[in-house]
Parts: sequence; structure tokens; C-alpha cells
Amino acid sequence: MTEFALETSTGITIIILFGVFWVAFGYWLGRKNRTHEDFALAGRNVGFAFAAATAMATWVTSNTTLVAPQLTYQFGIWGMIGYSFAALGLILFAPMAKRIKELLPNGYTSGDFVRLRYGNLAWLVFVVISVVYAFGWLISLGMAGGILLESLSGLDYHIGMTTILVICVGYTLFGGMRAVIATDFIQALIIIVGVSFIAYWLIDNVGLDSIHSNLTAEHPQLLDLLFPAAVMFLFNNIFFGLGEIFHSNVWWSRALSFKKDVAYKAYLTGGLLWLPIPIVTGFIALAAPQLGIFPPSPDMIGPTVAAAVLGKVGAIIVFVVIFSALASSLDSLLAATSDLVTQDIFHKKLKPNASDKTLMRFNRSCILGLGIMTWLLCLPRIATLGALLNFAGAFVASTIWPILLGLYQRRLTGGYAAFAMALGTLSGMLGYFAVGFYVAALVSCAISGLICLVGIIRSDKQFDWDQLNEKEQVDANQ
Amino acid sequence: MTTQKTCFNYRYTLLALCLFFMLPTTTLASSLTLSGPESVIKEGYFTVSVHANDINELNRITIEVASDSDFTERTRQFPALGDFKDISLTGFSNGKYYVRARAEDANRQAYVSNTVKITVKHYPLWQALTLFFIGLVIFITLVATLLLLHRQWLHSKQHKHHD
Repeated sequence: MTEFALETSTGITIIILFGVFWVAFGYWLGRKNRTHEDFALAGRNVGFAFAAATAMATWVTSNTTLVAPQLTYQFGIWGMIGYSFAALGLILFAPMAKRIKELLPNGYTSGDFVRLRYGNLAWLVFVVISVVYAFGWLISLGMAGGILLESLSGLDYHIGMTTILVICVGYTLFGGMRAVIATDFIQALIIIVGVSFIAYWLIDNVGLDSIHSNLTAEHPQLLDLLFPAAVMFLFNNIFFGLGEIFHSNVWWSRALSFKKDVAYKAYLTGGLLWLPIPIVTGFIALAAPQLGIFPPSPDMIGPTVAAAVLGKVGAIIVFVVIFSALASSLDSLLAATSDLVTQDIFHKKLKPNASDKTLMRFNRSCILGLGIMTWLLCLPRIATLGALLNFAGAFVASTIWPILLGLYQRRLTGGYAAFAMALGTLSGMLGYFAVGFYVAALVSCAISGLICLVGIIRSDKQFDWDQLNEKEQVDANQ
Repeated sequence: MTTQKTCFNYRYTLLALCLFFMLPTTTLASSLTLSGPESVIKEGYFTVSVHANDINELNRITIEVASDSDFTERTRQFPALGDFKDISLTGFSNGKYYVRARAEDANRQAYVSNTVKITVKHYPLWQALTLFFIGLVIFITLVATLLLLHRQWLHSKQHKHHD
């Protein structure tokens, strides 16, 4: 029989206590929501502390707590360092967030921007990419919940996965963006304190020297700075991170919900706070061979090692930290994706005259629907978390250049933007299947960038930035 | 006559089978099966799975990896986590590896699996470095473009403000 770090009953008790707390907190915060703008963008009034915390906490996700150790276990030192470079996504988004807030003072979503800037064809390609990515991330988060509970307490994967989905859907449903940002703030504090504690305990108890000696003797490849697959993975991971942040409504809706002049500082601070976290979580995996821990699936390595070193109390800390990380991302993604569907598809395309109340009701139904669909897709454990996430890399990296140039450059037209995203995605997928997951985003970004370059050289049109301010245009027409 | 001869053969076969199963064996290779990747491993990590036939409880599963099929050279042992029957191994350099599993049942009866041959051949370094430098060039271009365009925008904004 397996001796798990936590008894199954302890795992269930913690998750029930957490669940009740978060849902009640979400309900309490949700009482202040009066309009759809309150629900979707927290009244566009989020201050610096909450803004920086939500940026950092949302980016600390199953990727950071489960996939960073997985990639370190597979790619060694480069897996750990390369993963931390995903902070560049938040740091480089900081100036863009300032520009977004300036260009779209009344905007709701990233889809809004693409539709107004590039037209319907590019918008359609963008929505397909966004939906594929959102589901890839949602599924990975749901799966991570199940894997976490299974690794630490032996609880069946399906029960763990279902529980975490029910809790996050519950409080997002009640509280909207206000609940998402407030819970993110608390979750960010838990993550920073918890991760620092685990790192200190590991170094103090296991020791850097013994880990290094074991790896040198038994797994030299993990310390090799010229490990071929890891070298290929490095920039792929950077482009994946950039693509995720540049295109996703999770980050756009935050930029739009922050107070004026807060977005730049918040994203920069969030990125710098995030940078060391994958190093710490990844380092945990390097201690695995020294401790004689070889997991059944590489994505289980992080919590398994931490629990083995830290014992029962440590396992509870690990459990709480990872649960917080998962919840802070899952709620953000649920809120941002349902905003995208409500605003871009339902409001703009199907019911332009929908009342505020109808929009709020539809948004809530979307959150519930997304939760149910995610649950259904999580039931079969289709891939490891790393492989699943990096498949989405082929999609999102194709949006980097169209988004960047769309925000600052007048000459790139909708046709070229749509073509860049579509061909970039297809090339990335080709790279994914022909070479491996560690080249998908790199190939996608390269091809998309080349097409954008051709588009700018060949175009003689100049986009009028005033076309982005849809609300003012409608008011002027009236 | 024919019938008598058939019965005689049948009894001897049964007796031989009984004797075979009563032999004091320490290992039963046929009861434990190990499966692993069949294609060449290009990343240095892989997962192997242990399957038990007619064994109720499998304990102390250990994977042995050696560079020769007799398991005499550089044999390393990797214990499985708990009662999981899959095990992910990592950090292997180029070479041919022979892998087998050992386990015990509830009565401490030892079992050894079949041997799986795994070939690790990493991507050529030139290929990895080519992709690395392509990535580096795209990244520098991207950052330079962003900073340049953002600076231009801030500059034009200040200019408008002064006007």
C-alpha cells in the first residue's frame, strides 16, 4: 500500500474548509456588483496593491507549481531557469497595458480590440485561438487539481478534479471579477509565504551539495547546459509565455479593470515577484533523485518531493499553496473567458440591445457552462500537463506580432493579421508533431512574424486609432 | 492399445507439469511484464510500466537499468513510488540501456520481469543551437520593436500635450 503524505480524510477536510471559505467570500463580495461592468471589470477601479497581486497570483498557476518541477525533472537546470523566463511575458506586457488602457478606455476584452482593429476575419481566427487556449488551460488546471490531491492524499483523481472545479466555479459565479481579484490578493500572499518556506526547508534539510553530487553521478544530463532538447525549449517557453499574456483576455480584462496609470507598475511588479517562483518550485524536482523519488508521471514530482521532505505539516502547506495557485488562475480564466463570450459573441453579434441584467445573467450562465465543459474534458486524463499546455503554445504564439503591431503600428491590415495567426498556428502544430512540444511556439511566432513583416512592407493603408473607441463613435452618431 | 498409450502420455505430461510448478524458484519471469518506449528517446527521459499477471499484491517494485543485457555493468536501481506501477526516469545520456523490473508479492516471493532495451539519442547540438539562435534573434527583434514603438508613442503623446 502507498503511504501518502496526507490521509485522504485530511485532504478532503482541507478542501471542504477552503471551498466553503472561498465561496462565502465570493458571495459577500458579489453583493456589491450592481452593473455588468462591476461584475466583469470590478468597476474599472482596482488599485496598485490588488492589481500587482492579481497579476502575480494569476500567473502562478498549475504551470508554475506542477509544470515547472515537471520540466526541471525532464530538462534539468534549463527547465528551471527557462521556466522563470515566462516572467518576461508580464514584464513586457506592462507598457502594452498602459497603451491598451489609453486606446480602449471603454473596452471590455482583447477580442473587442482585434475586431475593431483588424475586422471580422482576424477576429474569427483570434476567437478560435482564444477558445482553444482557454480550454487547454482550463483542462490543465482541472487536471492539476486532481493530480495534486492524488499525489498528496491518494484521493481519486476524478473526485479531486471535480471538487476544485466546483469551488472555483462557485465563487466566480457569485462574485465576478471583484471576487477573482480579492481572492487573488489573499492567494498571492499564501503563495509567496508558502514557497519561501518550502525553499528554506529544502535547502536546510537536503542540502545543495548532496543534490549536486547525486545528479552529477546518476543524472548528468540534468546539469548539462548544452542539453539539446532543453536548449530548444528555452526560447519556445518564452514565446509561449508572451503569446499567452499578449492575447489572453485574462490579462486584457485586468489592464482594463485597473485604475488609470496603475497597469504599467502593476504588471512590472507582478512579473518581478513571479520571476523567482519557478526557480524554487523547479529546484524541488532536482532533489527527487537524491531522495529516491521517481514518480509515475513527471507532473506529480513537485508535490510528491515537497511532501516527502516536509512531512505531514509540510504536505498541508504544499497542498494549501498549490490549491491557492490553481484557484487563482482557474477563477481568472473562467471570468475572462465568459467575459469574452458574453461581450464579443453574445452582445456584439447576437443581441446588441441586451440589457445590463441580461448580460450579467448570460455571463453567469457562461461561467457555469465553461465549468461543466471543463469537467467533461478533464474526465479522461488525456496527456501530461506539460504536453497539454505546450500544444496550446502553437496557437497563442501566433498572436504575439499581430497584437503588438496592432497596438502601435497603423499599417498592418486585418487580412495579413488573420493570415499570420492562421499560418503561424498551423506551422507551430506541424513543429509540435514533427519535432516536439518544445519548438511549437517558436515556429509559430517566427512564421507569424514573417507574414506580419510582409504585410507592413506591402501595405499602404494607415489605421485610424479613433475607430477603436466604439462607444464614443456610437455616441457621436446618436 | 492406442487408448492405453494416450492415457500413459497424458499422465506423464500432467506429472511433468506438476513437478515444474513445484520447483523451488525464486524468480518467475513470466509473471511480471515491463513495457517501455519502442522508439528512440531524444530527450533523455521516458516512462516504463510494470504489469503483473496473476499476482494479487505487488510490493517493492524497483526498476533496474544497466548498460548491458546481463545487468553487470553500471546497474542502477530506481524504486517506484508507493504502489504505482508506472515510473518516470530522467537525465539519461546517449546510449543503449537495458531495463527490467523487480518486485515481491505479499508472501515476499520475488519476481523479475522481461528486459526492455531503450535507446537514447539526443538531438544533434547544431540543431538545438540553430533553434536557440533563431529564438534569440526573434526575441531581440520583438523587444526592440516593442520598446521603440512604445517610446515613439510616449514621445508623440508628450508632443501633443505640449502643443
